[in-house]
Amino acid sequence: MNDPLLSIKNLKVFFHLDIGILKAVNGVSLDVQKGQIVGLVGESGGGKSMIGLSILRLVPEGGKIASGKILFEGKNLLNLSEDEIRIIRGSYISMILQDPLTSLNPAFRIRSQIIDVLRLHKGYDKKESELIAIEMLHNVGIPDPEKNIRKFPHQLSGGMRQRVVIVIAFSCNPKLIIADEPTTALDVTIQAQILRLLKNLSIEYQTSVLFITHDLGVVANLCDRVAVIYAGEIVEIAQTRELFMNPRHPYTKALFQSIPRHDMKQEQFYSIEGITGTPIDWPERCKFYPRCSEKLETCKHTNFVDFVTYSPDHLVRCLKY
Amino acid sequence: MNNYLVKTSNLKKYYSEEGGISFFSLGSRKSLVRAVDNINLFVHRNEVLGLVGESGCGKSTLGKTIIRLEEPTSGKIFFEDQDITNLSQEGLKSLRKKMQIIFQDPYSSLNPRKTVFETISQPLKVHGMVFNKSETSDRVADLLQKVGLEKSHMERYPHQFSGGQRQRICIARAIALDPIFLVADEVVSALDVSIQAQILNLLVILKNDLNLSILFISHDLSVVRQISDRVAVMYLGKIMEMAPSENLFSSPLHPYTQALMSAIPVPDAEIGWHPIILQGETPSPSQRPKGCFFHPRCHKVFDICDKEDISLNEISQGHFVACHLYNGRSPLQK
Repeated sequence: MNDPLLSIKNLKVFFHLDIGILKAVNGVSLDVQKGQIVGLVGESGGGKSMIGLSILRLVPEGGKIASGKILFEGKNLLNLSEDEIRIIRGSYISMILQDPLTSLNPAFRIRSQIIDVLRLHKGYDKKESELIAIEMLHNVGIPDPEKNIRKFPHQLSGGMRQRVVIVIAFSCNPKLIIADEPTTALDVTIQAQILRLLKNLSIEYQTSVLFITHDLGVVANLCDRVAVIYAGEIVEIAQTRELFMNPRHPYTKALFQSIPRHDMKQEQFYSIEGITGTPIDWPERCKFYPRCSEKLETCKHTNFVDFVTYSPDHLVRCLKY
Repeated sequence: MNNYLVKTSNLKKYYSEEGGISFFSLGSRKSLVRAVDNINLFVHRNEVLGLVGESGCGKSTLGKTIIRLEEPTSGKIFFEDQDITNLSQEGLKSLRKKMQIIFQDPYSSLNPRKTVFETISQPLKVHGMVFNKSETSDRVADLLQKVGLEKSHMERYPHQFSGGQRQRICIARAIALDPIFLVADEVVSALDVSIQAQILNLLVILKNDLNLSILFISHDLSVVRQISDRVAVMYLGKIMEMAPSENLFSSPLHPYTQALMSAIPVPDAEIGWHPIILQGETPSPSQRPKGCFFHPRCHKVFDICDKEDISLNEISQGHFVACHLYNGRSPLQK
């Protein structure tokens, strides 16, 4: 196999709070191959967004990348200088966030927000970049791009704004896109449009995508590989088909069972007992232990659970296996 | 003889939207937002009616108008055979005991300065349902236990609870007055799936124990299928389709319902996902298209769709649909 485009190795992001150490990301390792769409799923507070932010070294104040490596094309992003990482951001790795209203600047027209990126990273002049911008807006399905490019973000609908954000993200032809819940704020019919667009663009530009979401339905239909995260730790990684047919970790199984489905009638809502909680000063054992329905006596005392290769390319982190 | 608990007839709620001041037009232009337009809907006793639709379709406004939190523009609302459309404030007060609402966000719908006890006991006091302190505290403890919280939670403040627990507090407050009708407006949308299931199970138990009827408003068809006896689908202020839940999900008739369902990605990697991709976006409710409101985006549109209005017709027992395809005039049917 080729070297992965992105390789996260044993990443730890800690927040030192007055009440203790919050281990937002606790020893995460994850590879993204070229052209692959990798899903990162989990519930809120699981640390999935923090992984995305760490890749671009945008961890919010108070948080620190305590250890680990983030190798992008073999280079450790954590060792780059501030100037070097700025070149990576936008040109090589870009990000799409959940809320398109806050990721666009309300005071500037769409036009300047797209062409600024093109001019800065690609060195095009004003005229050239405007032509490229219009063409890209047209490609993502924005009607009448010559007119709409002169609008302000608030004059566009949520779906249109997210298309603009996608144009900005793809404008410099990056190698990796980190998409953090990009369709969560949108209606389902618009979500379907945006997901199809993302998939087509990623194929067309050979762009890898790290797709962060809580929606297993989206993951099933978009991603090549999936990592399930709970309380800052990845509990299971597999090819999408394999994971959905054969979930092994009790958390993955419980998560699958608890999703209501519109294509079948279910007798009861399956719920996971207890609450997720915030991993502040939690013991080093399996984080899902208190809520697990399949826990063993040994789980309580085992401090470190390593990944087990359940089948080729299907890793699970549970003492049962 | 009538087994409807709630019924609306031609219910309308319009807002007038002031055209804002811009550099180019200083005068204000008024346009009418038809948030709820000619809704005929009924909820049976001890039934969950799911109300689904995308954001801005008017489903929340409809919910609020039915319980008179919003004043209807025209039309009538019946509750237990009584016309409550023009009920006075005094008359409304006794009605409020019977109809309650729970909102989406359990963070903003609880007063952060009040303890759980104060929050839940207030409606009891206002409606004179408790007479002394020990009775109040017994009643609150009983309510907390019903929603799966503990007596010891009484003296805590909302910030000491998780999102799911807060929603339980909101539910306890809503059932405090023994209502018979509950409007649940996106009550689980802010919660994680594993917690969502806990709250939905609680609602089902309460519905059966307390003989509640629920108007369950949600954008999430998957949740609606599981909890509802019947479902109504709304688009731009109108009901497009209304049917028993199993009918609607196994054979959706309206092209909008079909598109909506196909757009939901199923959490199953084997099935494959073939959404009907709708053209464009939902128009603004102040500038609705002529004819059927859905025709510009419809994948089954034909010649009369943009010319003639269409109202809700009963196609088969209990299955209502507002679409030209089903009134014998479609080229597809011939």
